[in-house]
This record gives sequence, C-alpha cells and structure tokens, in this order.
Amino acid sequence: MPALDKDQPSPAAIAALRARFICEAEIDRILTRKMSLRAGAGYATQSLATLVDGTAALIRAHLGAGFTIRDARWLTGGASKLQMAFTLDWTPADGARQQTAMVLRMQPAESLVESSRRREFEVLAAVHGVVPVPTVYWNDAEAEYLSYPALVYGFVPGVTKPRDATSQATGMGTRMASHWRKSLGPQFVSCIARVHKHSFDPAALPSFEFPAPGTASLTLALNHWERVWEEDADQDIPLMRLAAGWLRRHMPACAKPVLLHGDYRMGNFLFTEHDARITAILDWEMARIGDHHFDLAWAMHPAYGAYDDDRKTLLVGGFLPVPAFIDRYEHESGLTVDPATLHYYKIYCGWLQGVIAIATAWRIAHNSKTHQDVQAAWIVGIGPRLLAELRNLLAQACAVAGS
Amino acid sequence: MQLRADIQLQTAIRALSEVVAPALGSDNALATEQLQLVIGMLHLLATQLPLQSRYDRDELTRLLEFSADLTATVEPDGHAHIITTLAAASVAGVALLTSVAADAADIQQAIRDLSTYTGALITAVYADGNETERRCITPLVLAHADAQLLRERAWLLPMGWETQPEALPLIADLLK
Repeated sequence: MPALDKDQPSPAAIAALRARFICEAEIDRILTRKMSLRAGAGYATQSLATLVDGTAALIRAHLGAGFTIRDARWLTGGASKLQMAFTLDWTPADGARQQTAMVLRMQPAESLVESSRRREFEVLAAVHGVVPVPTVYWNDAEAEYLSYPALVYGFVPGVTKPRDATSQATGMGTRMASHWRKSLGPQFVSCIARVHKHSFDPAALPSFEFPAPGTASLTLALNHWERVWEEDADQDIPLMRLAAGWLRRHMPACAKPVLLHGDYRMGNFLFTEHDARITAILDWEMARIGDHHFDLAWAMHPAYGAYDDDRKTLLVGGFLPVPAFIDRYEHESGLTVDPATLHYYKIYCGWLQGVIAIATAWRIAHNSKTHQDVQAAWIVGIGPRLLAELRNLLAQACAVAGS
Repeated sequence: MQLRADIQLQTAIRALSEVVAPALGSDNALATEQLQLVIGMLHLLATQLPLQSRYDRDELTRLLEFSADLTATVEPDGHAHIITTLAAASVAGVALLTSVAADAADIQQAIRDLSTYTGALITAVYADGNETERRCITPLVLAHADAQLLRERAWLLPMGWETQPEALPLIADLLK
C-alpha cells in the first residue's frame, strides 16, 4: 500500500484508501474531493460582498434576472459551516413578488464534518412536512458559483438555546431551566420519532444508498468513518484502534433501516422562546440510512446532554432522563429500543466523536482549512473526555461479553 | 535570557483582554467568539508550558510499558513484522528517556512512533488474531487508556469541558 502523507496525499494513496474503505458513492465523492484538494490552499477568507456575488450568480442560474439580494449579514453558531443571512426580493414560480428571508450555508475548504451539500439539500426537501425544517431553494454542490460548495435555504426564526441557559462551544453542555424541559422535551423526542417511522421514497434521496436489512448500512458507516480516521488522524490512539476493531467484530443486524438525522442533539434545532415551539431541525449533513439506535445513542451522549440538579441524572438533550426518553420514543415511533444494540451504538458514537473531535478537528486546524481554526483546535480539547466515556463503555461491553 | 514565554504570554493576554476585546464591540459576534478562544488558548498554554517536558516523558514512559505488555501477550509469529518494528521503536524510546540531552522533538516523535505501532498491532489482532489474543490485549489497552486519558483530561482542565472538574487530580501530581 502506498505511504500516506496526510497533508499531501498522492493519487495512488487516495486510490488505496478508496479501495480499502468502500463507502456510499456520494460519501466517496466528497472524501476523495477533500483529499484531492488537501495539498492546496487553506481556507480563503470570504467577504460578505464575495458571498453576495456568488449567491447572486447561483440564483441567476435558476431564475435569470429580476431579483435583488439585500441585508446580507453573518450568522454565528455551529462549528462547521459559514452562514450568511439575507433577504431576497424576487418573484417565485407562483408569480407574486415577495421578500423572503434566506440563509446561505457554505462549507469552508475542509470541515469538522466533511459532508455533501447535495445530500443535505435532498434530505431537507424529503423531510419537509414530516418535521419542521427550512425550505430549501438552491444548491451549489460543485462550487460552480461560490468558492466552496453551498446551499440556500429559508431563514427560520428561533434560537438554539434560551437566553437564560449556559453552554460550551457548539451547544454542548447546555443547561435548561425546568420550564424549557417540560415544553421542549416532548417535541425533541417527537421529531426524531416521526423521522424514524416515516417511509421515505428512495427516489427522493438519490444521493443516499438504501442498504438492505442486516449489517450492510453499518458496514458502510464504519467504512466511512474509519476512512476519515486514516485520512485525518495525526498521533494514533490505541483505544481508537481497539474500538474500531471491536465495532467490526460485534456488528448488530438492523431489521429495518430508517432515515437517520445523524447529529440529533441540543444545538441542532431552533425554537421560538415566546411559545416554546421547535421551529426547525437543522444540520442534517450527517444523515444516512441506518439503525434507529444510532440517533438515540447520539442524542443520549453525556456531552450533548446535561445533568439534573442532583448532578447524577443525565438529561437527554438537556431535557429528559434516559428511561423517560426511551419510553416516549418507543411510544411515538412504534420502534423498539434494544439495550444491547443501544450500548453498541453508544460505543460507535463515542468512537465517531473521537474521529471528529480528535482527528478531523486537528487536521483542519493544522492545515488552516476553516474560517475558525481556533475553534477547531479548541474542540480537540474535548477529545480526552469523549474517549474516557468511550473507554468506559467498551469496558462494560467487554465485561459482559468476556472479550 | 530575559524575554521568556511567560512574560510574552502574560502581556499578550492582557492586551487582548483589556484593549482588543473592548474595541471589538457587539456587532461582530464571530470575531468576539474567536478572540475569547484565542485568549483561552493562551491561558492554557501558560499553564502547560512549565510542565510540557515532564508530560512528554511521562507519556513516553507509559507507552514503553504498554508496548512491552502488548508484545508479551500476542502470538509473536502471527504479527512478526509489527512486533519487530515496535521493538526497535521501544529501544529508541528507552535510549531517549535515559539521555539527559534528549531533544523534545525526538521524544515527541518516539511517542508518535510507539502510538502508531501499538495501534497497528491492535488492529492486526482484531483483524487476524485469535480470540484468546483479543481477550488478552483488551484489558491492557483499556488500562493504558485509563491512565493516559486521566492525564490528558487533567492537562486540559482549564478548557472547561469537564462536568465535574473537582473530581480530577492536578496534572502536576500525576506526572512522574
């Protein structure tokens, strides 16, 4: 196998990675693109004027002339993508002139999560009407109009955390007052239950593979993230190697693959404070078809929850104790939560978080690939805490199985 | 030499906190957020610099012990190439630890090498080894991770990621 210089990968080394880790076609495309561009320039700072020009070119390709972009401004929030809010003065297909608040969401040269704008566009369109999401308008998946791949969707009012809450970067560790828990908690469970029980037409998600029941979807997911570890990790970590090997050897079969959000947690939805209503589920970039236990395990991760006042009871998403979360989910989705499978996916999520927080966050900061490298470097700092939780989950599983 | 890292960091942090931050105003949230992270990063660096050499030597020491335990546990014939490579890296690592003139960059490279080769051995055992080997190496890896992660979490404690920071020991007390 050709040696892999991770900062300047050769075409032969990239080809070897592709052959070793068979991924979904669209995942393979974006990871290959990432590695092919890695030796090139870091992220080139974008002015608002540059983004407006690129956005106008994208819209012009779809609408022709007769529109105006106004009130462009930066949006903060999120560690992975750049976002610009603006108002579009335009005439949609129904013929009535209107002003629509929109958001341009663009990836930097490399992201904390390297993902497909095409898939994100498709899944946002597919789940519209199932759960609250922004309306998607246009997609620049190949960066024909903007400097980097991007999409445009409707602006949705709301906040990711109430003004009286505190949290870490990326929304982690948000502590919510009890009235928010009571009002938002049931909606938090209900939204993911609705996604999981909905039957999606594969034709609406052409960039997604719909694996058959069994271990096919999990194999694709492990291939995806193990490939990312190989591409991005700097110093190797024995525990991560153990986890990867263990996950391959203990794959549970999935009876009925469903659409997964992929990053379902506090910080990735908007709600309006005046009526405590979830207005949009955001950040679908890690969506895939797979086992519903994945989204539950991800949402249950302690880093994405908060502890109750007794400092012992974990509140999923900062809202509900684990038993209440599972009970409500099973009731609303009609799906069963198997404890052993859930534990497997907790280990999988812990390993995946290690890939993102330690390998990718370090690599993109090291290569100056983002608009906020210092935040990426800061995120590396949560790695040891995440790995300590992974280590304990593995120890529990091995104690039970005796291996 | 008078101008050492401690005074450089102290003055940079003060200028960023007391001059630059107030001048940013409230209309540039992205810049404000990044400035706070820069200040936090400099504070972290100021706490870590005096301990960096001890931290690296401690990590190398435990990786050498871990490598020896792993090598003694697995079937030598099944992973001969990796074991040979790991043995050579271990010899180099021991030499560095016993040398008072060892360069910091060489110690860091030795840590990287041992991490790479122990990782490769674990991967090989899980892919091609037998069940007995897997049963034996798993507690070794978990024990090594336990000690290493405790140090890393204590090392990064000022970042504020821990939910119960008071439960962690001080990093200076953990280092050999």
